Amino acid sequence: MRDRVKGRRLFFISALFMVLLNFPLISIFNNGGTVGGVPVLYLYIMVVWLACIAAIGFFINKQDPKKGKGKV
Amino acid sequence: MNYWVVIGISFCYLALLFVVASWAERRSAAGRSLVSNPYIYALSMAVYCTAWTYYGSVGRAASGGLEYLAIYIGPTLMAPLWWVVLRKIIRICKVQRITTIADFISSRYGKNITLGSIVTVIFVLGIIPYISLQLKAITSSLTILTGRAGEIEAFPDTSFFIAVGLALFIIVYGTRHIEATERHEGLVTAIAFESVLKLVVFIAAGLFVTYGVFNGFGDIMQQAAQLPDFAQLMTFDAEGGYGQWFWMVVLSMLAILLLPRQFQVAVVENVNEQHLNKAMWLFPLYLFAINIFVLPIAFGGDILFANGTVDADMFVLAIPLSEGKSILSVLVYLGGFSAATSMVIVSVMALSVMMSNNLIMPVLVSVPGIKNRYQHKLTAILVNSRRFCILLVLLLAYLYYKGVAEYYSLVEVGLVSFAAAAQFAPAVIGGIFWKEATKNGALAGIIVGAILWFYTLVVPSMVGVGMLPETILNNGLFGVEWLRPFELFGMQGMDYISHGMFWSMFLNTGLYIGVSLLSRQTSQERNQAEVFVDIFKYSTVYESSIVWKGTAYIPDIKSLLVSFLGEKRAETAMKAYQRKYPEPADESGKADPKLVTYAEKLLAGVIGSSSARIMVSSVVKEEEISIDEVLNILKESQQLISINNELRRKSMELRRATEQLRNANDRLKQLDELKDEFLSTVTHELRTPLTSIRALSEILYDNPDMERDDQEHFLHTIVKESERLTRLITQVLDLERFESGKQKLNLAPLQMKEVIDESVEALIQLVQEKHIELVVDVQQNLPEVNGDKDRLIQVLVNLISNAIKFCNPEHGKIIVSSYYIDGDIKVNVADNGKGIEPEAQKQIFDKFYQARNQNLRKPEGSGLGLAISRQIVESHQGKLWVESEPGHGAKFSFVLPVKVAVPAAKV
Repeated sequence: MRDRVKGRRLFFISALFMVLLNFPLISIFNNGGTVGGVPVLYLYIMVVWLACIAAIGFFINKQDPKKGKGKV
Repeated sequence: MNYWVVIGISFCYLALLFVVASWAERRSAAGRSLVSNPYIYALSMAVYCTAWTYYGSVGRAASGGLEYLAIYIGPTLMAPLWWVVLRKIIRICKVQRITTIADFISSRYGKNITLGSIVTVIFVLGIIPYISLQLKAITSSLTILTGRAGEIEAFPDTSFFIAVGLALFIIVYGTRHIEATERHEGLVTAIAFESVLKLVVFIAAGLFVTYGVFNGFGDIMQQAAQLPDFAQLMTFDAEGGYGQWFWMVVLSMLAILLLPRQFQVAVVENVNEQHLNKAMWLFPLYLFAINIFVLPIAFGGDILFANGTVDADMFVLAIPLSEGKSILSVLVYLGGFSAATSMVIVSVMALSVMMSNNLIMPVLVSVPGIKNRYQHKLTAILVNSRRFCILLVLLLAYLYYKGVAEYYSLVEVGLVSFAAAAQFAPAVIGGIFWKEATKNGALAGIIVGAILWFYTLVVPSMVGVGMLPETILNNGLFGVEWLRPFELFGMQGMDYISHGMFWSMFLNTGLYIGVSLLSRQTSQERNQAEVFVDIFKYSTVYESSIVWKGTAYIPDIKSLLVSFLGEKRAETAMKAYQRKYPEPADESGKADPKLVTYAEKLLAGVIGSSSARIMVSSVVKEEEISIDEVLNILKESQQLISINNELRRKSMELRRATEQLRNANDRLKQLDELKDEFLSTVTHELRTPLTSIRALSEILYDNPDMERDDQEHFLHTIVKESERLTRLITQVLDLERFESGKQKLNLAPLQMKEVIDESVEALIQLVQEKHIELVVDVQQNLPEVNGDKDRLIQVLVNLISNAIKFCNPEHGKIIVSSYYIDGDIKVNVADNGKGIEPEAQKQIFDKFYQARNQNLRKPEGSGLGLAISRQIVESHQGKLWVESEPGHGAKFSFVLPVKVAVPAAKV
């Protein structure tokens, strides 16, 4: 049961970032602009990518059974 | 740099891999396995990063811009799905002893040989270009490092020897165990080691380029902005750029799941499903880290080698070399070498098992003549066939490299392989979630998908090197316009990868679903489908979830196991089976269906599931079984499982209830003992005054002529003792009433000051007699409390008289204070006596504590005073406690809550 909920939440992370990293959202940053010399599209992809990894890591650590028991 | 030095270094590095692998195997033999560790697991997954990543990404970034990132974004998006998808695949493979992805597909669709061999052939065709690109990367980096670029080597060239060296390593460490399910710990450790090396070196090279050659990231970007194609590289082409990006993401999502080498490290070499937890975020983090410096290196190369003399794929090596950093260059070369070798090692091993289990073994075991003749040499044949496959795959890769790959960039070659692996996505993912999918559906989808893959992606590359006429590209096959490989059926506006992926995946998935809906499953297929989709239900009772009907004899099964596992291991396996199913064997020597399934599973781990099926069915007599029968039996076993679960739940509940009952019983016993103790103490306390009253009365009765003074003295004692008796009885009754809750309080608003004054009044005589200094300090205008005045006076009198008893006998001092604090009224009675030991501070509130410890204090009072006082305070919703340090007096305090006045008072 727990595994199923965990799977569903992880699926949500995957789907969310799939949308964030694809057309049409990505076209917002596809204007050739730069922020401090760094192309804005590159910056956007890298930041969202890192955010995705952080979201997975944060979620997994929150779900860790060892830590979960400690809280109860 | 000297050619032979570099060759020497390369082979030294291979030797180092041997050392690492042997060390890991020795450790694991000693029971200190390195591999049962989530970090090693995550690092071994980084075998995904090959020479393509190491060299090719930079080249792709320099020529195609940001789209190189898609290959790493895809796996990151796939990682969270591992919990649902990969965990299920791992469980299925553990339970059924599946060792390759071809075996996985053929097992799911009824252990079909045709399907298994077709999958294997497609994988070999698809992955060989990928292996050859590693050889290409090694060779190109070698020529750049040694300054031999442009020279043409005669056969046998360097890459040939490197291929031979790698084959040797794989043969030694990859075919160690006959059972492919055995984990290759040495190999996995070597891969993890290589993953660390390539990451560290690549980042070091990136730091050198960014901060050594240029002045940081911003500097490179500023200079790069002057490049003519900068703006175009840093944006997506609005025409087809988004579509290409999307398809690349999808392609790499599927590749991370389906590539044979990923299947090998993620599924076969998995020790513990929980390791996925770490890998799900560590592996994407690894990908992120190795990509940080790709763009700076790509632009750095573009700026430094503006004339285009250096292949962009080799920038990461060429930049340190052109700056004269020879040690860094060698390290970078070794990093790339490690990226390439790790991929080659794992891929070739996985392919060799796939080929021997799905192409060679089925032929050997299904032709009776061969089987009977070589039955006892089959294991040797098996190992040697794997070794042969290893050499064959590397040879094919070498030939492909010489013939085709030399003319293409690393990424172009790699993407074609990715697309080949993607063709198995419908069959694998559908297979674990959709029970109705059939073998025919899978077969149709895979074959058509593979044909389209070949036609749209491989044929053009063959045209490119002149193996096929160019007219195919321009005019289509046989001059049919709508058969042009890049514009199939006239579709336009897509790049070739998106185009090929769209057509192959569309027809593949469509046929898979469509044919599955139209065709029927065999009973065995249905059985496997049920087990695959509901693996988490069946994994603990696998043997009984495979429905099998027929006659088999234990000796036959045993000899089958012996011929593949050897005498010793077959014996161990049989014992393990008997431990799991300890039912007595049939007297006629007939084997239980569970034993047949068990043996088949063990064999599958050695020769693959479809060959195992053939072997088992050759020694037993099987009966046809209908799908309905399969489903019914499965339903029964499922019900059995749920009944078992129900039973377990019930017995848990029962245990919990028993526990509660036992606790209640213990508590009752304890209370009973307390009651007994209380009664005996009370009677003892009653008897002491009674005895003295009786003795004195008898003396008076027997001596009527006693002196008047003596008589008065005796009578006085009798009266005092009677009073003590009365007091004791009153107190016992009081206590009993409080404890049972029968005592009613006459609550009325009262001033604490009055209570204190009246209590002091009652005791002032005693205080003066003993020359005790009594200080009363009550805060002005205390709020009223709701209380029973007489009872509160009783408490205070008790506390103050205790203080009088125990305060310093010479300079006695008692302070009674009262003030308002935090919604409560607090009253303290402090003395300057010898105080109370910490361990006694709780016990003094017990009934008859003083009485029971008469050696500690003078027996004044009944020993019930504090117990009653606490009861009174608590029945006012207050609290009574003591603070004391031995030698510094004791302070008894109680608080009573102030009932908040009616809100109207605020107005």
